[in-house]
Amino acid sequence: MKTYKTIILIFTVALGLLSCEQERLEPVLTTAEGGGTLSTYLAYTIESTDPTGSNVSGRIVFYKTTLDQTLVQVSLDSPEFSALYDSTDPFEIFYPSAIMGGAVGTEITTMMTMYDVKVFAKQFDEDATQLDIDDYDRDGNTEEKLPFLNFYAEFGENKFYVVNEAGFYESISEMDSHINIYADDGTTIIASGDLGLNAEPVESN
Amino acid sequence: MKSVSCCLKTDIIIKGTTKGTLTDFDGNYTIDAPADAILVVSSLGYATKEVPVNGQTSIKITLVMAAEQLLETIVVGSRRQGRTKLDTPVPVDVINIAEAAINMPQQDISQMLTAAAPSFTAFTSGGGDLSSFVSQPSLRGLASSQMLVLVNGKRRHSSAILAGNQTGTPGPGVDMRFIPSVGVDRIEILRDGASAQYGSDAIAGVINMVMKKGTGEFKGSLTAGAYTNKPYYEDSELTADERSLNRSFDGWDGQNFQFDGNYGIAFENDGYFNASVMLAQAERTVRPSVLSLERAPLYDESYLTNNRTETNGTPIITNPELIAAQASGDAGLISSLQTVQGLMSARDIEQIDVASYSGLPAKTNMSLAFNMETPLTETSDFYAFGDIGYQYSDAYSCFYRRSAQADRSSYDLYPNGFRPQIYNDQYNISLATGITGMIGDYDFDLSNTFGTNWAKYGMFNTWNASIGSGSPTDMNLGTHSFLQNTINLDASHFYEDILSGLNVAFGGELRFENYIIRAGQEESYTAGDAGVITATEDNQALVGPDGFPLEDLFGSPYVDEFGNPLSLEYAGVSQELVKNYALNCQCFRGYAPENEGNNWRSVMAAYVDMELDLTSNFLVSGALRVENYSDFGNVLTGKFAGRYKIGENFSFRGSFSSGFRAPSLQELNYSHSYTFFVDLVPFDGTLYPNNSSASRALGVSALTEERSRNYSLGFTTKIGKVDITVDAYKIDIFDRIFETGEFDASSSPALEPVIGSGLATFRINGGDISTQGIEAVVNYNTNLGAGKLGLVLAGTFRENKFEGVNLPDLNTNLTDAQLEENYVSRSLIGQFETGTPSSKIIGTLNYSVGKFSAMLRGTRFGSVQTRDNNLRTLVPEGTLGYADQFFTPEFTTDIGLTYKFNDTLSLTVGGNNVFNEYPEILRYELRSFNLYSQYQQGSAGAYYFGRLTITL
Repeated sequence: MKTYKTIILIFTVALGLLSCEQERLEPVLTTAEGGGTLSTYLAYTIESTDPTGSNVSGRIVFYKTTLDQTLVQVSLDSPEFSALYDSTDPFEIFYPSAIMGGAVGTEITTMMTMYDVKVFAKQFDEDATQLDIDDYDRDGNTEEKLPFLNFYAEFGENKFYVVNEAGFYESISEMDSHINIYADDGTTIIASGDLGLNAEPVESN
Repeated sequence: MKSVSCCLKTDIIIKGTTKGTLTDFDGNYTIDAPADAILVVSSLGYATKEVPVNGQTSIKITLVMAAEQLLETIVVGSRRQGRTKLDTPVPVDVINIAEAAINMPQQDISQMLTAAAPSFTAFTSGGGDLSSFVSQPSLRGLASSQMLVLVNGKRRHSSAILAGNQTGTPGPGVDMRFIPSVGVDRIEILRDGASAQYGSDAIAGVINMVMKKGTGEFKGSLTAGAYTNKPYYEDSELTADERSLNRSFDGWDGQNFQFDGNYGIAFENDGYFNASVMLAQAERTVRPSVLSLERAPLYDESYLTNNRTETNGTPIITNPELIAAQASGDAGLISSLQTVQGLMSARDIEQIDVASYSGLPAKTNMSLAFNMETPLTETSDFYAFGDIGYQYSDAYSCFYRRSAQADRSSYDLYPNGFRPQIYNDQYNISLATGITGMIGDYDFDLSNTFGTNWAKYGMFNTWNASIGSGSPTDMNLGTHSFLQNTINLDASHFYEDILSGLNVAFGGELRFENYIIRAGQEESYTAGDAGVITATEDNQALVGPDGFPLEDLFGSPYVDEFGNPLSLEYAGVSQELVKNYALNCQCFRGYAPENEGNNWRSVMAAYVDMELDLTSNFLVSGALRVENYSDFGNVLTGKFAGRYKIGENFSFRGSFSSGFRAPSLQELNYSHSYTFFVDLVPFDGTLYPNNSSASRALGVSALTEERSRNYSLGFTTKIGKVDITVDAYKIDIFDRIFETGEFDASSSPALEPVIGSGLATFRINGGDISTQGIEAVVNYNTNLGAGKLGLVLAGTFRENKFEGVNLPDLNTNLTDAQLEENYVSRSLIGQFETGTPSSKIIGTLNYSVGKFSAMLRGTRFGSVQTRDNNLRTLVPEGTLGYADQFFTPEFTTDIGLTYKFNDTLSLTVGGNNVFNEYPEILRYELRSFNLYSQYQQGSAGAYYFGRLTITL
């Protein structure tokens, strides 16, 4: 009987030692706060002020982050970008941007100077029947298929301009302001759009 | 009764009964025996002796060295009882697990055999979908399915898992881990084809595990060990970048504990019940493959610059560190955070943290086994043995999913990528029951052997990207189960008066098998719609909040030829796949309803097996077996063998046999699919079973059995205290089963109606192979000083050859050369021919003196050469070619040292691969998942252990 008791004791101790649950490897989740999808936003229209010139138009969008920051995105398009691309090499076209006090036309107070808006060319398709013998996309490769390029303009320095002021996003709809896009001389307004008190958002969420 | 006998672990049995015991370390034994009983005493290397009790309570027995060493009789390969290893006409190794285990670092039977027998290997994968869950055993470099495993002479069921192995095409194998090693007395390895005696699978040979019968003694051991985890990169082939990034995770890993216990109870009617238990837990080892930042960047530009968007165009902030730096106006930090290294540094991530990992899986094992026998009548006994076991393991099977891979990246779930890991719960049951006895002059054995293995797969640290961030991250991938029930009736009789003796055996077998695949949870195999936009209004433009066109995963806008955003015409109807997110569970698609199956087969067999001693020196034997398979017909096999003694100490032996291996139910019915999208239409790539419409369309015929011819010729001799066996063999295998490369509709238009734009692979009887080699075993046992010395030098030298493709007339438009290359690939052929060591030499020294015993073992693994399947740009040559690689031979050293404190307690310490030898690192082009070759000593490195053994 003593042998049986000893065996049972040994078995129990062994079971106890070996009954730990297996630990799984965890994914690396390290990241700063404030990331993720920006699902809260206000978008306003920007219209060209020189339809016979650069003819730039688009939107300004204010996004709210989880850290109560406001990220500003400007997106512009123009039917003239393609011609500009053909005539400009290197293709480096920048438009200064700023948020001004008052409605469009009231050019007195600069509330916020933002990044310059840069014109980009991006391939969206290719012509499988032709080679890019003239290096249309200027990537140095003349043996690839002829690319189709799409042109657009965004902040050049970073995709978003950051407003690190708590409560700014909530104040936008009450803000008496507008946005100006300037020609590369920094003074000629080529596009503008009312914001806040002066306009209804074209889209919001 | 207690006394002293001559030697360690001597069998003592009461004559005419099954009741017995073993002597302990010092030769003591206790047995309850009637006063008029006769004790039969036998021990390895000594002549068996019968000793009458004559009413004595203490008997001292002295055994004398046998004229022939290694006298234990063996079961496998001969149906006549009483043959010894040197008596048999075919080579048989006997590994005395009960004796050897105490000093061995290995605890799992398959690893013990790998360490002890050169012709045996057990491949433990460092990673690969299902491969890590079974250590696939192999004999003579052939597949695990080409080897038969018996327990107490009865067919053992295979695993339900169709696992990859070292010889190429995946196949089912017996998982020996479920049998507690402490319950095994010895293992016999028959190195010869034996299909005519045992049926399917015994092409390379047969392994028979003989379970313990001892009673009245408890033996338990607790083993703890770990790997040092100290790989050396300094002088390796790694690039300078890789060398700076590769490091081992600090400290030991793979810590493991195992408890083994064995106890036997003697019945009053001379029967016995012997039970064993095994509880084990092993943590994973990590052997990362760290590539340079340029080769495996964790982030891409869209991630670093916050340019990613949801399907509806709303932005995803993937680099909030950059936003914070912009807010603070720190220009240097802004610049740094837009580089892979900068952001990883900000997040305190090293490349090794996000590398692909290889290594041994984490495992928890529990197993309970028993072996019993009890008299029924004066001429018959009932016996039963079996085991029940559970195993959990989680393994590496996937490349690291980097955040740069936008189609499977989720900032919400895995902001820095993820490493999916596959896990598996297995339940395994085996039960054999039977009656042995006499009917007239014939011994008979009627038995039923049941076995089943049930394996459920899951994956964690994963998701189905096409479902979106609501996807489960831990998924059930499905279940496989295999069941086998075998009824055997065997009869035999030894005619002493026919020449020098004729043993006639005959019998029949009826076997049922069942293989089931069950689907996993729906999210593991479905295509979600997270990347799809459905119009909510007529002529809805595909634009985001910024008014720009929606973009695909690579940032390309959805625009027409003029650059204007595309639009969806009809509300509620029109759709566009904007983001082509990866489908299914990453990285293993769950088994889907179309993969499900429930397949049965029955097998009937009859055999006759005769052994005739023409003279006392000349033995011939022959066997004939016919089998009928319900799913593919009849097979007839035969075997002829002979042994001729010249004097007392020299014998020639040889054999010729035909053999076969029926394709397993797993091979016949396993299928697995993966899905990809072209626009909104899903297409499947599938491994199709051979009874599928895809197989018929391509012209792939049904799988048939592999057939073999085995030749063996050798000699045994004894020179003084040295025993030598040398055997040469050749095995030709016809119609070996392989897996094809991928066929598509462009190369095989006949497949188009079935597979669309998908891909299809098949199992095929792809070609003929052969293997030939020489195996030699030298034993030397002597007394040295006050102790005993045993030396074993064993080696195998082998050449595997792919003899040629059996190319059928398939419905493709490929040239013969292209078809041949796709039918059986270059890498598969290479894996079979040179992918495993062509030679293996094991030298073992055992020495015991007083309270010490020691084991020292050296193993030389021959060279290995892998063959690449794809032409690629070679580094550093820069030319186009195959990245083949030659791996030089490797040598490892194992050691075990035991000190016996008293009759109850002993301590063993030692290690496996104690000099920490790693195989060569894979060449640059092949370094991705694994860093090392897997086919020599493995990449775990040095392992050290301690073991307490208790005897009560």
